[in-house]
Amino acid sequence: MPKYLIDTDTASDDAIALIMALRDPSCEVLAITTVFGNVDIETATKNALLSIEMAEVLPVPVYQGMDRPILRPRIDALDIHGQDGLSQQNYPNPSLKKEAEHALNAIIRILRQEKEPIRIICLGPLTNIALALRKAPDIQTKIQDITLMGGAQLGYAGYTEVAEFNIFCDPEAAAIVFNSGIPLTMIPLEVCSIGNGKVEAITSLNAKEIAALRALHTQRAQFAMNSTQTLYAFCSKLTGFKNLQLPDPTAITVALRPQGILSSYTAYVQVDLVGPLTYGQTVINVRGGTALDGQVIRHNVKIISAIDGAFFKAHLTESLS
Amino acid sequence: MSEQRRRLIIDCDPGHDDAIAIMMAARHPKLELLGITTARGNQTIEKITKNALDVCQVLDIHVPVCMGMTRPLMAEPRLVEARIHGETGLDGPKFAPLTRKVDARHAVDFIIESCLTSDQPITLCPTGPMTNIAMAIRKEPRILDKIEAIVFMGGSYQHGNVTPAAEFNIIADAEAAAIVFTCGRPVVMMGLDITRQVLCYPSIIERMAKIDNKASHLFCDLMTFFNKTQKAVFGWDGGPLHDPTTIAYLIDPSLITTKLMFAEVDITHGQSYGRTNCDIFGLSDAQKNVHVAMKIDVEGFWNTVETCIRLYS
Repeated sequence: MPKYLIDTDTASDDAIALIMALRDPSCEVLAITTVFGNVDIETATKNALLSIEMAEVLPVPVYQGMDRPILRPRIDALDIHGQDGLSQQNYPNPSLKKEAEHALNAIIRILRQEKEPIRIICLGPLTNIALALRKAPDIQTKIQDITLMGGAQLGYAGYTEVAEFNIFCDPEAAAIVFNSGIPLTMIPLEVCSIGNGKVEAITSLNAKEIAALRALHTQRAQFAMNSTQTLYAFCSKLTGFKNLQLPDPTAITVALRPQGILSSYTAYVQVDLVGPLTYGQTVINVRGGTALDGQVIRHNVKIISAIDGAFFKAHLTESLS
Repeated sequence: MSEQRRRLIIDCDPGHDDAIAIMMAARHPKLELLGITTARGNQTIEKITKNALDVCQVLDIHVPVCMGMTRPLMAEPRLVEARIHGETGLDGPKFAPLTRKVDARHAVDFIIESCLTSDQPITLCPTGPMTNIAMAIRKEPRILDKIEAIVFMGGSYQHGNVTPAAEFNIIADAEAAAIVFTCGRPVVMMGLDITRQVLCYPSIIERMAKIDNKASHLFCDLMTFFNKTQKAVFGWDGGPLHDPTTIAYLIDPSLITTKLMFAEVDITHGQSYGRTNCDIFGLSDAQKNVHVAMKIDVEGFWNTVETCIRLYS
C-alpha cells in the first residue's frame, strides 16, 4: 500500500481533502504537515487536527511547518475561506495535539526512515517541501512523486492575471520544487472547477449536489458543507451562478484514484520569479526536444487537464458517507 | 568580575581567513564561542567542515562544529574558490590525522537551539554565505528576539570581487543575505571596503612568527599559502584578512568605524545581482537597517590579531 505525506494550509477544501485521504483504505497517511497559506500557520494546524477528528479515523501525527514564505510577504485567503478558514462555524478546539517536532525535520526524518520512496501530496504553498529539500538534499531519492494542487494553464486568471494562489504565496519555494527533478503531477486551478470546458469535466458542485451531500446526514458531510459556506458564496459570486469549487479534494482524487483523470499531458514548467506582470506564473512549454537557442527541453511535470466530474463526486460522496 | 562575555556563533566556510577568525574568537576573554557552523562557500560542505574540525583540533578549541546547508537557497551553487583557498579549501598547513567528530546536529537546528535555550542574547557571526542564518530565521522566527546582532563579512558599498557589483559571500546566496538584511535585528557589515585594507604583508607574517606558539604557526602556514594565491590572482603582495575583521570588531568596536544606513541586497536578477546597495547619503526614507563599516584602524587591527595569537602561548 502506498504511503503518503500530506502538506496542507488547512482551510475549508483542505479539510475535505484530508477526510478523503484519511478515510481511503488504499492509502496510508504517515503524517500531515502544515504550512501557512489560506490561513496563518496556527489556524492551519488547528484545522488539520479538527479534520482528523471529523474523519473519525485513527489519529495521524500533525507537524507544524513554515509560517511564512522564503522571500515575499505573506498573503492569505481569509476572504475566501472565512477568518478561521472554516466559514466561522464556531467549532470547538480539537482535542488532538500537534507534535513538537518542526515539519521540516519531520519530513526529513520520516523520508530517511522509510525504506521505500513516499508519495507527497501538496495542498498549499510549497515552502515546507522546498526548504526540506534544501536542508537535506538526500531525501530527494525517497520521494516517489509529488502531486500538487496549484498553478494555472495559460489564460486562466487566478490570484493575479497569470499566477495561482498556492504558487503566488511562495513562488521561490515553487521554483525549487519545480526545478527539483522529482516527478510532479500538477492540478491547475481551472481543472478543479470547469475542467476543459466539457460537461463531463466539471468538478464543481451545484446546489443540488450540495443538498445531496447534506442529505447524507453524517457528521462528516455536515462538517464539509458547513465549513465551505464562505467558499461557496465566494465561488458563486465570482462565477455568477451557485457552485462550490473544491480544488484540494480533486487533487486527492488524482493522487489516490488516477482512473478519474480524463486527460493529461507532460510539459516543461518553470515558475517565473522575475517578471513585473508574470511573477509566480507557471510557465508551461509543451514542446520537447531542443529549443532554437539550444536549450534541451525536459518535461518535468504531468499536468492534469481534465478530471471526470462524476467520478470525483462519487469519490467525495463515498468519503463523506 | 569582568564584564559579561559576548556569546557568539561563527558561521563560516573555512577558508584561510575564516580559520583566523575562529582562532581569534575561541580564546579571547571578551568572547564566548558557543559553536561553529558551516555552510557551502569557499569549498564544498564536506571539505570546509573538515577544515573547521582541523582548526579546532590543532588549536585545542572545544566547541560543537555543526555541518549546515550544502547549497544556496535559490541560486545554483557557484564554483568553489579553489584558486584562492586551494583544493582542500585550507591549503598550506599540514594537519595531524583528524580525531575530532562533527556534531550530529544540523547547523540550522544548532543555531535555533542555541538561541532558544540561551538566557543571554547571542551574536551571529557569518563569514561565508548566510544560508544557515537565513534558514534558521525563517524556520524559527522566535530566535530573532535572542539575536543581539548579526556581524558578517561580506558585501561592499563600493565594488565587488566576483562581479563589478557583487562580493563572493553575498552572491553565493543573495536571497539568504536579503533575508538577513531585512530580519529587523542589528546587522553589521564588514565589507570589502575595509577588509581590503588589512593586507597581510610578509612583514606581518614575520611579526606573528616571532610569537612562536601553535596559533602563530598556523597563522603563518595559512597566510604564506594565502599570499601566494592572492599574488597570483589579484597581484597583491599581501592577502586581505577579510573574515577576522568581524571578530576584531566584537573585541574592540573602536577599531572599525561604522555608519548606520539603509542597505538592501539586489536580488532582481539583473546585472547587479548580489550587490549590497548601501544608502550612504540617506537618499531613501527607508528604515536604516545596516551598520556599514566605513573605516578601519589597520595598526590597531594587527595589534588585536597579535593579542589573540598570544593567548595561545
